[in-house]
Amino acid sequence: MTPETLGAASVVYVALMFLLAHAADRAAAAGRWRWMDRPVIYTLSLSVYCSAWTFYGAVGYATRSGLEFLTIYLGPGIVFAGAWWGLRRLVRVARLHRVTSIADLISSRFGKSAALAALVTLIGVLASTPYIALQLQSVSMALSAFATSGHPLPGNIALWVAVGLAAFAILFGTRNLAANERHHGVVIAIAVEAVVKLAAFLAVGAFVLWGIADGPADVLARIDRMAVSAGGEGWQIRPERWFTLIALSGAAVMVLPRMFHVLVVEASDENRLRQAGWAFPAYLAAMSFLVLPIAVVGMDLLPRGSNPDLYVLALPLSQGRDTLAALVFLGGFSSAMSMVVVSAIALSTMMANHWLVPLWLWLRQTALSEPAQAREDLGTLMLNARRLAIVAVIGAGWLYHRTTGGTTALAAMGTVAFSGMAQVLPAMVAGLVWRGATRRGAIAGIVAGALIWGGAIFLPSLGLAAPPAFPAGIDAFAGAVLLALAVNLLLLVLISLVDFPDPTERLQALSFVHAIAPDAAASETAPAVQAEALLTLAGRIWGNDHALEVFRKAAENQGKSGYLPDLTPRFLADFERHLAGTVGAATASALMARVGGRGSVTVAELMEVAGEASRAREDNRRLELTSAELARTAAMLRESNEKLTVLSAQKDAFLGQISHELRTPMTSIRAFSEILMEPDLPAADRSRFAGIIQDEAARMTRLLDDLLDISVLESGRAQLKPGVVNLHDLIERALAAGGASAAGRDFAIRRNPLAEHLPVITDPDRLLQVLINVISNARKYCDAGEPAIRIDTRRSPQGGTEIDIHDNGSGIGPENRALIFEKFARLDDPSRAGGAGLGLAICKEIMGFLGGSISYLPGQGGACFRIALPPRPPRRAENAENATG
Amino acid sequence: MRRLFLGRDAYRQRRLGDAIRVLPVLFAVLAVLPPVWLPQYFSYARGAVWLAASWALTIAATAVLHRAIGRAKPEDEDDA
Repeated sequence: MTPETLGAASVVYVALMFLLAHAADRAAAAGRWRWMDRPVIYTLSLSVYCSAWTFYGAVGYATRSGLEFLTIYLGPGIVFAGAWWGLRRLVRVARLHRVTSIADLISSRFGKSAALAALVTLIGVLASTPYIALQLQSVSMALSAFATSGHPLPGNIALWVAVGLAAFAILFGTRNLAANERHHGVVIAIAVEAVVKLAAFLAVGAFVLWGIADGPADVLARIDRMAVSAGGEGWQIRPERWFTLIALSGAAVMVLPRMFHVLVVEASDENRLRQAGWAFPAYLAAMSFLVLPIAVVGMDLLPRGSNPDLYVLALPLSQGRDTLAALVFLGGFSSAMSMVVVSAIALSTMMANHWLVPLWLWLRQTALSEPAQAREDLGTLMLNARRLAIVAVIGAGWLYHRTTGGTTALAAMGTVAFSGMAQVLPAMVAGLVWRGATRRGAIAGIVAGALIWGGAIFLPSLGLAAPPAFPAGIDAFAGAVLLALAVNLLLLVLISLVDFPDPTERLQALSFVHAIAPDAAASETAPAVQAEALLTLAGRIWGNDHALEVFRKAAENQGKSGYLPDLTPRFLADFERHLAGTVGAATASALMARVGGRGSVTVAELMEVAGEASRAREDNRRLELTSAELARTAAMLRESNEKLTVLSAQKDAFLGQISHELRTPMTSIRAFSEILMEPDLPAADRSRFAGIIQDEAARMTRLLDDLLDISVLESGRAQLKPGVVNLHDLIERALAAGGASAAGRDFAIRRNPLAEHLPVITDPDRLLQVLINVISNARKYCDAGEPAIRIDTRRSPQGGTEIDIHDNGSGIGPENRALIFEKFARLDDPSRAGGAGLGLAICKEIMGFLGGSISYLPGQGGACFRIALPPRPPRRAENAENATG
Repeated sequence: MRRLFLGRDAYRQRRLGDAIRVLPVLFAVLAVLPPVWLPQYFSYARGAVWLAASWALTIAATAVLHRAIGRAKPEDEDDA
């Protein structure tokens, strides 16, 4: 197989990729992207990490330095083991801010700083140059492996490769200026290339492992033989390099421009990290562990002095496996191609957004919003800037390749790129986890780190400076990397600690660290901006159709028809972020300022944001209090309504009861008086009937007296006539009166006369009334065979007086105890004589009037009432006045 | 606002998240510490086997945990 055939095959391969990418782009444009938008495509596109360095360089690296080559894959392995924890956060924040590149992320976090964006872009370009050179070198080297002696290769293979890849990148990377930086065609192409390179590497690995060597055990034995062989001392792990390189590669998988692009910018959502978190490390592990057999078998079989970077091709060629070698070449070409294309796209976006457009804006101090001004189209300008940048990036890689003469070991070139880009890591991580990290701190750290990297690593790699002299025993590369990162981090932290960031920066810091959407309320006020001017600006960047669509949707969201939404802070913030998705946060901010003349946020306005938040909280709290109060009032109203309903029912019952009570004696009076009117009535009957009439009239009078009494007591108009009285005398009188009124039965009265001699300060007449009532009740209702009444008196500990009146009857059932003190509450009792059932109700009113109480004592073996008196009666005078007044 | 106490499912979900956080730390220790500590012991075949085994275990554990956290109903995710 000649180099010419392979060259032709590569051209065909690139053409196929062109077609594939073109088809994918068309499908995406037609909205048929969804079926391609799968986690597996995302995972495969991440394999752009495995560039030609992995394909050729890793074997060379392993041959020279043993297991150290694994560090380049262990770092990403560690980072992706924590994908769901760390990377997800990064992807989420970046999507929130429509970040277009690593430079844009850092610039946006640190107050949309244009300077920081330009600085990170510079480092990205510098660090990527040797990396791109590595890819070009690997392709020409690989072709040279197929060259037969006496048939020299054309000298400018690297140049032609560069031209071809630049064309690919320009065609598919700068097709249009999308509102997000996603390139479906390119992603599909690199996913397919990922499969090709994995298949090629697996094929050659399996061939070497089982075809040439005797399986894994044999390979391990060969590795152990290295320990004692001549070239084996390089295999000894050097701890400082081991640690440094793992850290570097872990950083590289996040901050290398192409990795950031596929990992963050092309990610349609963070959920696909769930699959990528294990599938990508599995891909890396498969690729990296197959390097070992190729390296040790190559060392054993191939002649001394052959380039170990080419073992992967030389081994199948030496065994006469030309087809396998050709497949391996295509795999290596795939890895080089995808790396160069994605790097070029990512770097060109950064260069255009952060270098060329700001420069253009600065050169032309014209108003962007005037459509009449020059027909030129901002979008086209930006696309051209990107095309120019792609040519520049790949051209610089080719220049680096020419300068170094194409002789450097591939891995050495790769580590230069890693260590350069790693200078961005402290700012990125600090920006995501520490609100206090500031722009000045980030700039100082990155500048210092990059200067140390430039002087101690980058320039020496070009042969333009001598490597730094570290004390013996310290590896120059590891020492320089650790020094640069340490100074970088130290400056970042120290300067941030003493710095006071401006308000925009603090808003962004809040949004990045807590992964919350930027606060629209804090957006700058924009009195001068016209929606039309913004529409014109958007049209010049995205093209009219897309711009109109964006504005129509925004207007629709505000409930307006047409294309001109109100310029609310929310709309302006959204619009700026939308714009940032195309041109980067710093440029978007500058454009908005140019069009609208927006002032920047002030610290006072920033504090106002917090003020608004706390005011909202305060309002909320007050609202809660009010509603709690309302609920309380409602409950009270409900209660009083219930009470009123009950009272109304009671009043009805009371009236009905009174009418009934009055009507009964009235009826008999009327009946007997009619009979009396009979002329021929015997005198005996006449006097008997007159007696009945008199009795009934007396009963009515008593009832009316009682009613008057209770109404006087209830209304509080009763007069209290306090006096000192001996309780014993009072009980004597009560028993006498009760005995007089009671009919017939003999009651045993049990008293303790000595204990009864208690002086009581109260209204004696009222108390007597109560005693009589209770005693006569006992006489009336006691149903015992040998009825007895017991009266106990005592002083209560509080100084009051208690009088218990027992009888030995069957007492009052529990269901009736609550009723007996109610008006007209008469228990159905046949032996009851007279009375309207007002007695105990009156007693209760009187006791209340005297400041005491009357209650039924349960469980005494009969009915028992306790009359309790306070030490002295309450002062009623003013109460009475209040009640009447 | 994060609640202070959770039901069984959400509690399991949180612990799953903790396990996912521990994983990279564990793998970093496995990959960095032995070769740095005992370079002559881990420089050859033994080192290769050690790294291959620990990496394979990590990948398997990541796959299992990521599957589990995907199956569980997202508790505080705003992105499907």
